[in-house]
Amino acid sequence: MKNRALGLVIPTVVIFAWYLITDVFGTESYLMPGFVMTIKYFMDFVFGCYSITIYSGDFISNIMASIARVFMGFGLASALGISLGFITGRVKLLRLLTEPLINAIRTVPGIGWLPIFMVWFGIGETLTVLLIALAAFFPIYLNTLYGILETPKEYIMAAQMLGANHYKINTTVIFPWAFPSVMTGLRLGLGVSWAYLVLGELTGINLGIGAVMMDSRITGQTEMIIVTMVVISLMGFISDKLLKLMGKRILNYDEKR
Amino acid sequence: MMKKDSNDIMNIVGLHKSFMILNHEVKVLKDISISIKNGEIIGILGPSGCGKSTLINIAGGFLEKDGGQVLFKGEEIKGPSSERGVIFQNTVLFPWLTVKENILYGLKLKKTSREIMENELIKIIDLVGLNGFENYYPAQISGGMQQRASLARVLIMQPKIILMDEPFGALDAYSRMIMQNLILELSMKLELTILFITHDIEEALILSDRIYIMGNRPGRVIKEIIVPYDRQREYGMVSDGKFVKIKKDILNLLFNNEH
Repeated sequence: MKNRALGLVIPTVVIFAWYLITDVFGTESYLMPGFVMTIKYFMDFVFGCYSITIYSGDFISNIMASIARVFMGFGLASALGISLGFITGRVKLLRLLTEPLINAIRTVPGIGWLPIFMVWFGIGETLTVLLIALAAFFPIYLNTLYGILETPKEYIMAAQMLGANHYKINTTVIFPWAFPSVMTGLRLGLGVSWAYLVLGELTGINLGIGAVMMDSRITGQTEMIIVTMVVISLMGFISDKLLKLMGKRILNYDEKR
Repeated sequence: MMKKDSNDIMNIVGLHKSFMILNHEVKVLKDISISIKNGEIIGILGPSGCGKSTLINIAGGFLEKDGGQVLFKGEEIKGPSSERGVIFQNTVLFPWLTVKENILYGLKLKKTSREIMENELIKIIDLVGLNGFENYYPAQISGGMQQRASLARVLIMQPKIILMDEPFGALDAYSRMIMQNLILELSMKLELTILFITHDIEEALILSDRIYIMGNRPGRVIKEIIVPYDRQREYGMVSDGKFVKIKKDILNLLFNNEH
């Protein structure tokens, strides 16, 4: 309890400082919007109660569009990352074949893929989803791979001695052992997904939190920029918690137990 | 040449094994011949690096041999099997399973019925003294308890022989004593056949019916000793004059072999 309380100290100080600097001492609102004003804009975005912006009350439609993109991109990255990670982890030949290519692609940062994706896919849904998938793929793939490679030989020996065949070794030994690593990869991938969501949406999509963010810069409503940043942060936080919960449902095993 | 007795549950004949280390071929085991009869406890005693672990791994079916024969019930072994149960030095219980789930792992693979599994579990837990710990995770119990669980998961499969790789090496002296006693007790109750390796002379003498003493570089059998005690042993035997003398003889043998 005390640890949680300590964690809240700095955020509280920051918010208080924000309030002081803007609402008490006064700053240009286009540089740093007032704390109270930003809260108002947030409420308006969600509930449409003040009608101060064109986004008034559009929170749900925008957030749903963004969530759908993250869902698809992350889903694609997870499916590919986990299955590829598993296969190359278990079959040495495949790993030797694919490793150089994967490392080469990995060194190009996701942003570097934006131009060629724009050429191939144009601006829009596909671009964003694929960008997210590409960025999220690598942490998921790598962590899955390492989790599998790190399975101590003795566990496999013990399982063999007790009568496990190849398939059973994969499901009853390797998977549980590698699972915490896979979870780490998934959580990293999810975090990266939100970042690349914003990047993808900045390219000129109509609906989405990132789209609102970029749009409000152009229209000079700095409050909305802050609001959308907070929303993304919240989404990242909540989705991470949900992922952790899902992980616990599948296998409630923590190495540090 | 050894006579093959049909009462031998396991027979290792002229075993050879080499490893490639830094582009050199290192002979780890040279012409090893060991016989184990049903119901015997056989100790393999030797210094570190004499190839004991390699020997047990080959007997367990985890490692390929280079030459010779490894016979189990008269036939060459083809890989690991629950008939040749293995107790590893580092327990190797699955950390994501409880003690109970670990013990039942092998039976579950055989699709044994729930009822039979529960019955066998109760019996075995009682035998190894793990009552009350069924739902704990390995990380939550002591090293000694973990080895009991490790023993239980092998015993429940009703193996024909149990192979032990320095099973009590990681335990403190007291726990080791308790476990050695447990092994002696169980070996009588269940008529177990055991092949174990150790570097501890006292342990070898306390547990074994016969000891094969191994030398170093390359690993080979230098002497076979029949331990002059029957299975009803007490821990007090370590201070016994006879015991101390045998221990001294073995020490001399090992020391002279090194120099």
